[in-house]
Parts: sequence; C-alpha cells; structure tokens
Amino acid sequence: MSNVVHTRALVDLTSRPAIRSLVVAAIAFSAMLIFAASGIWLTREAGRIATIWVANAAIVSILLTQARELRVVILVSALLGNICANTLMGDAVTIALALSLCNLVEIVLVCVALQRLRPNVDFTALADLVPFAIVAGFIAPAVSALLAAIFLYTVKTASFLDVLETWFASDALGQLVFVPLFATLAEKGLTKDGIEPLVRPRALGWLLLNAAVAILIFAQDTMPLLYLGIPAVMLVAFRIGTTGAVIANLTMTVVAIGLTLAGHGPVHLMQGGLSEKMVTLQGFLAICVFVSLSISAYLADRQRLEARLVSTVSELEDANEAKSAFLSTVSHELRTPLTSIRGSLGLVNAGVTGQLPDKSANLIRIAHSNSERLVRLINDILDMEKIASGKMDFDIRPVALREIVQSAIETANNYEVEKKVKILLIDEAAHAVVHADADRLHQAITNLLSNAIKFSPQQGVVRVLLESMGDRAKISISDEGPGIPLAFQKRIFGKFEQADSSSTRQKNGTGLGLSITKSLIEQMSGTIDFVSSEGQGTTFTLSLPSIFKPSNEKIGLPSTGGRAVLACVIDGAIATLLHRQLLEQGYSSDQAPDMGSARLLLESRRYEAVIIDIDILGDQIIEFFDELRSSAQNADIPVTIISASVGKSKDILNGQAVGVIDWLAKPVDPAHLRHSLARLIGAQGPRRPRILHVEDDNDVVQVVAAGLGQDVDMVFAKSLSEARTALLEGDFDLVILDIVLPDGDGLDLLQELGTETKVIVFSAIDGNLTAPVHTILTKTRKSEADLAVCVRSLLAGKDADQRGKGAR
Amino acid sequence: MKLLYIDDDDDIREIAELSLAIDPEYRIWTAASGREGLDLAAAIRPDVILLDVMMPEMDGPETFAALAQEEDLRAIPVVFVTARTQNHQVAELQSLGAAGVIQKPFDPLSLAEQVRGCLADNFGC
Repeated sequence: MSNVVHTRALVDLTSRPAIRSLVVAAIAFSAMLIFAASGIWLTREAGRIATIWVANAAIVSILLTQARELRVVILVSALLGNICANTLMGDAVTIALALSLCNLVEIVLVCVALQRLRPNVDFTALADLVPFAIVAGFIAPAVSALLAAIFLYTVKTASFLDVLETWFASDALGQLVFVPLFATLAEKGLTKDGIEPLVRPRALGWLLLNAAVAILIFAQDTMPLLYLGIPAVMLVAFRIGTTGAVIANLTMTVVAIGLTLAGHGPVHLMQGGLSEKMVTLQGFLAICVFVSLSISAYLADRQRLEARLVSTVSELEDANEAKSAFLSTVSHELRTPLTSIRGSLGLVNAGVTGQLPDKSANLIRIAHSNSERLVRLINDILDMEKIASGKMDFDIRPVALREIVQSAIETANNYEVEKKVKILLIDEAAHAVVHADADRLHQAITNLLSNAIKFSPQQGVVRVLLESMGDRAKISISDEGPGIPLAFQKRIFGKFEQADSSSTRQKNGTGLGLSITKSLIEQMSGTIDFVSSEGQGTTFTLSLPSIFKPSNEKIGLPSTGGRAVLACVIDGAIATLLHRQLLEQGYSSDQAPDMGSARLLLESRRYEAVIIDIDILGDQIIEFFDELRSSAQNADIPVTIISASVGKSKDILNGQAVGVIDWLAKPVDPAHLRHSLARLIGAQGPRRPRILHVEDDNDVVQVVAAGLGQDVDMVFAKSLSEARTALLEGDFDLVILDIVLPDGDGLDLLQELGTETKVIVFSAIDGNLTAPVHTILTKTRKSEADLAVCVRSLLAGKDADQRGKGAR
Repeated sequence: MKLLYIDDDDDIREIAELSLAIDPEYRIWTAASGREGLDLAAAIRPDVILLDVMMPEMDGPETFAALAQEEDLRAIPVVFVTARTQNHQVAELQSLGAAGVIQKPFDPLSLAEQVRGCLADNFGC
C-alpha cells in the first residue's frame, strides 16, 4: 500500500518519460505480486471465511491516477506480477496465466467503465461514487469471477459455485475498500489538505474510537456485535469526510479480516457453512464502505455547494457595494450641474431678471418644472437605494399621529395649488400614538397625498381618515380621481411604474413614490393597501402599530368614544389650541379651513358641536345656518361663533333663530375658549340635557327632581325673574313651566325661549291653553311620574303630537 | 449683513449671488477657493460664510478648520452648501460645528431664507 501512496511523489520526480514508465511498471508489478500472493494465501491457506483481493484495486488505482499513455505498461506489469504470484503460490504457469487474465479483465472493465462515465473520478462526489459502486463493486468482479469459475471448473473440476462466490466476494470487497482509499490517498496523499483534517485531536479521537469499536466487535467471541461497526464508520465519515472514511474502512477491514482469520469475532458465532459466514463478513464490510463513503460524498457535495453560495453572496455584496457607491457618486455628480440649471431657471422663472415675453416665459416654466422633477427623481433614486441596501436609518418612537398627518397635509396643500383640491382630515383616532419614524411617516403620507392630488379632478376633494383599531392605527387617503386601471393594480408598487407609461403621459412623477412609500411603511412594521375601481377613485390605507388605548392613561386624556367637534377656524394657533382643549374634554376635532370643507365634513360625519370663525362664513352666514338647521342630522347642533366684533355679528344674525350657543371674541383668549367649550359640549362625557324648572312650590321641585334622576342638569327658578336670569346664563334643552308665579304669568317666558327649547307646562290651571308649547300637563290629573316620562320622551326627540293632549 | 460665498464652481457662485441678492439685507462677496475665501474673510469680516464642500486643493472641511485656527474668524457662523446629501455626510458636516448644511441643488428663491433659518437655529441653541 505504501508503495502506491508514494507513487505520485516519486513519479513526479522522474521527469524523463522512459524512467517514469520504468518506475510505474516496477510499482505495478510489485504491488500486484505482493497483494496477489497475500490474497492467494488468504483464500487458499488461511481458510476462506475472510478473504479480500486487494491486488486488482491497487492496479485500478494506479491506472486511475497515472497518465493514459502508461496504461499498457501498467497492465503488462500487473499481468506479469500476477503470474509470478500465482506461480510462487504453486500454480502451474497455464493456470497462473489464465487466472491472471481473469483479474486483468476485471481491472480493464473497471477502468474503462469509470473513465467512460466520469473522466476524472472523484470519490468525494456522490455522482461518481454510485457508478463506481455498480461497476467495481458488482459488474466487473462478477464477470471476472464467472470467467475464473468456468476455467477452474473445466480445468481443475473445482466447485463452480464455490469459486464464483469466493472470487466475486473478495474482488468486490477489495475494489470497494481499496480503490477509494488508494485514489483518495494518491490524490491528497501527503499534501497539507490530505493530512491536516486527520491530525486534529478530534479527528484522531474519532479514528481511534472507530479502531476501538472494530477491535471490540471482532476480538470477542460471545456477542453478535457486527451492528456496532456501521455507526462507527459513519461517525468518522460525518466528522472527517472522505479521507477519514477510507481510513476508518481500512481499519475496520484489517481488524475484521485479521481477527476473523485468528478465529475470533461474531462471524464464528453463526450457524451454517463457510459460504454463509463469508457472505456475512464480506457483506458487512461492503455496507460499511458504501454507507460511509456515501455520507462523506454527500457532505462534500454540500460543502462545495455552501462554498459556492458563500462566494456568490460575497460577490453579490461586492457588486451591491459598487452599485451603491456608483449611485452615490452619480447623484452627486448630477447635483452639481443641476444646481446651476435649477438656480438659473428658478431665478428667471421668478422674474428676478425681468419679465420675459409670454412664449419664452412658458418655455422657461416648462424647463423649470422639469428641473424640479429631476431633483425629485434624484432624491427618490437615492432613497430607493438607501432602502434597498438597508442604509436608511429609522428612528422609531411613539409619535402623535394627528400631528404628523396635519403637517403632511400642510406640505401637500402647496402642491398643484391651481387645481384647488381640498384635503379634509377626519380624525376618529384622536389620541392615536403610533410607533414610527416621524420624518419617514411624514414622507410616506406626503407621497400619498401628492399622488391623490395629482389624480384628483379640478376642485376635487381628498379625504384623510384616521382610525384606531386596537393596537393598529389606520390612515386612509381617498381621492376622487379616475381610479387605478385593473391591469396596473398588480404593478402599482413596482419601481418606475406609472399607469400611463406613454411618452406623452400627463402626470409628472418619478414612478418611485409608491414603491418608496411601501418600503418606508414596511420598515416601520406597517402595511399599505389600496382599494380602487376605475372611475370610482382610489383609497390608500396605511396601517401602523399604535399604542392607543380606549382611555389613554398614559397621556391622561379621556376617551373620545367617537365624539367629535367640527372646528372651522382660520388661525392655525387657535386650531391647535382648540384641538388640544377638545382632547382634554374627551372630544376629537376635525378642522375645516373654509365653508366648502365645513359642508363636506358635516355631510360625512356626525359632530357634537361646531365652532366657526365668522370670517369663514363671510356673507354666507345666513345661508349656512339655514342649511344647517334644515338638515336632519344637524338641526339642533350647538354652534359657537368666533368673531372680531361680536356685537356687529349678533346684529347680522338678529332675528334669525339660528341657535348660536355662544360667542367668542377675537383675539381668542385660551381661558375663554376653555370656558366656552365647556358650555358648548359639557364638561365631560356626552352632553347632559339641561332642564330649567320654573316652579314656586319647593315640594313639587324636589319630587320632580327625584323623578328625573341624576343624568340631567336641573336648574330651578322660583320666580319669573329668576327664570330670566337663568336663561341669560345658558341655553336649556327643556323648560318645565308653572303658570302661576309670584311675579307674573309663566307663559310670558315663552317669547324669550329659543325655538330649540322644548317646553312642558306643568300647572294646576286646568284651562284650554293655546300657547305654543309641546306638552301641557295638569297637576291634579297627572303625577310627577307622568311628568318624568314626558320629559324623557321629549328629550329623546319624540315630541310629535304631544302638544295639548295632556290637557284633556 | 455681510455674506461670503466660497465655491469653486463659477456658475454656481453667480447663481448663488443672484439668489441671495433677492434679500436686500445681504451684501455678498464670493471666493473661488478656500485660500481666497480665507483671505477675503480676514479682510471683510463677514457675518456668515457659505462654504462649498468639494473643492480642489483645500476642501470645505479644511477651509472650515483653517477658519477655526484664526482668532478673529472662528466665531463666524459657517453654513456648508453641499451636493453630498446622504444622512451620514450631512451629519459629519454638522458634527464639525457648522451652523447648518444646505443641500445642492438649492432652491434659488429660498436660499436667503434658508441661510437665515440656519443662523436662527444656531443662535437659538
């Protein structure tokens, strides 16, 4: 064996072909001579249970590892060596020749078949190992054994089957164990790659363990421990790969054959004849070899794949790095000339250099707007690149959703101003605090708003709806545009995608906006979705993780429970103040900067109250209130008017029963505002009905109050004058009126009550009253309980046809 | 208010000068290199210096460092004007102690305003 190990090194030294041939011939001859002689001794002398024919495997290995032109030399030398060995072991020359030729057939078959199948056989590759096992472990030994058996049967009348069996088993085992061993060692041999994995302490440990197991199995004579052998070689194959596997197999084979020949081991425990025992041992060794080599080849395949993946990944990383650097450089190089272009066009377009003729001005405007577009495109491309390469930093922290949306709306209000698109914010998530990067969320919302404006018709409306759903906050942005064509919907988040990709497309844009928006939102653990049908507009919905709780203890604000106030104010500071104060009192607020928005918002949502700046109403003030009061939903909605000159404004509305709750003078004082809001909506929770009970009998007052319970605000007046004072201080939903009062007739009050106030006359006078009141109850006929029922039904709005009936 | 704009690009200098001139408060000087800018700064003592970043020989940060070396000039607020607009690049410039960073291409109509914004931020701190 060691001859072969050194073959390569030795042959490499001999550069001259003649000498080289001679050396190879000598090695082949002596290998054949030694291995064949020992093999013959094993099969004939030492009993036939344990046989292995190494000689053929040695020659196959030499052939596989040497140059093709040396084949004939090797084969002839091997043949001669074989004849010599047989002759030495006592065979006649003719028999020696014939048996040697049988071996030669096997050697040639293995080599030819292998090199046909795989030019360079690699025993660490599964693809090579399988054909090798079939040819060298089965076909070639079978052919060789058949020829030998026929020859010996005819010439020496030996048992045909015995020869066939012994020859096949020993040759097949020899090929399976030794060809991979020799080839692997010849390939890696004494090189660093070959030795290093073996000399590590762990590797040596595994090899020693394998040797110990082999000895344990074959040195004892009591237990059938063969099964321990397979896991032992498998372990080595797993841990040290092919080189380890061939050495483990060699160890196992040598120990098994040696100790079996010495009369030990589990094979001797078997019942049955020689041939069964031989098949068992040979089969065991063949399986050890096949299993361990398969495992190591499979692992080697995986390792090669991993190495390829690793190198591919690192190549890709390099390429990506280069791409980033390239983009960064290019965008920088583009920015410098663009600074001059944008600057020049901006200045000329703004008229800094004087007025241009119309045609030129138009051309400059086109050039200017396109240079602006180019700037956006470069910024978008850089953003895209930063997101793709994971270089965009996100500073995720809790942020108030409303503030970001408000600021994005302010930014978007500057887009395409000439289109007069209105952006309405409907806030149903007043306290929503989302986990997000404020700047990136602003960018994402601004992108969507800009898109919505871009596709809106002239004077269209973009609705922004904020909603809270458990631990998510939703932002929906709807436009009244043409909708997204069905065919384009699938590609909408792609890069450089625009529905109208023709060269004459109408919409300026980079086609990167939605793709960037999606990436930004997803990086913040959010989702983006859209609903659209052609001609019906489009709604994009963002969903973000939020820390909203129905009653948000963290910020100490009461739940709004969906209650909202509409604030139509111009001044941003007042708007902010209002929003904050309303939140404190448990109301969310939507803001309308103009009449149109106010109308749209009043249509789209139920509000508890309206605060409106008289400057927004302008000369439409009467019209606005007419509209408001004639709508079913808002007929009795409380209104506060903010005005610079309250007195004058009151005059304008004089005689109009519009139900203004309160007036606020400009400039608005925060304390006054708070006070007014409290009056407008009640200090907490849903507005409690306010009832004025005008009654001079204290007992009646107490009984009625007890009957009405705790959830109404009762104000009592014992006289007409007290009642008048109460009415000046605030509005009432309902008045319970006694007619006979110390200082006059209760009915006199009726003129001073607004039309919104419901009136119940509760009096001892049993007369035919024609006063315009809702209900008349006569004290002697109706109890206080009846009164309470009547109050409840009136407050609930069921005042129809009550009028006058109670009197009879 | 005296303003010195240092940039090696002739065209951008001219446009910046026109853009800044929209604000009548500014009196503008320009320099085409860091070296020239340093000399001019020593002569006119500007109230603010706008400084390009990528310049041959002496780049923006080097010019900034040289200004800081001069007893009389180190207090002048410097605003970088740069085409290198990536976050980390901007952060680097800010960490040098600049009063602000304006990105190229700048909007010519709001450049003066942006400079004021930078100065206000700076003094506000």
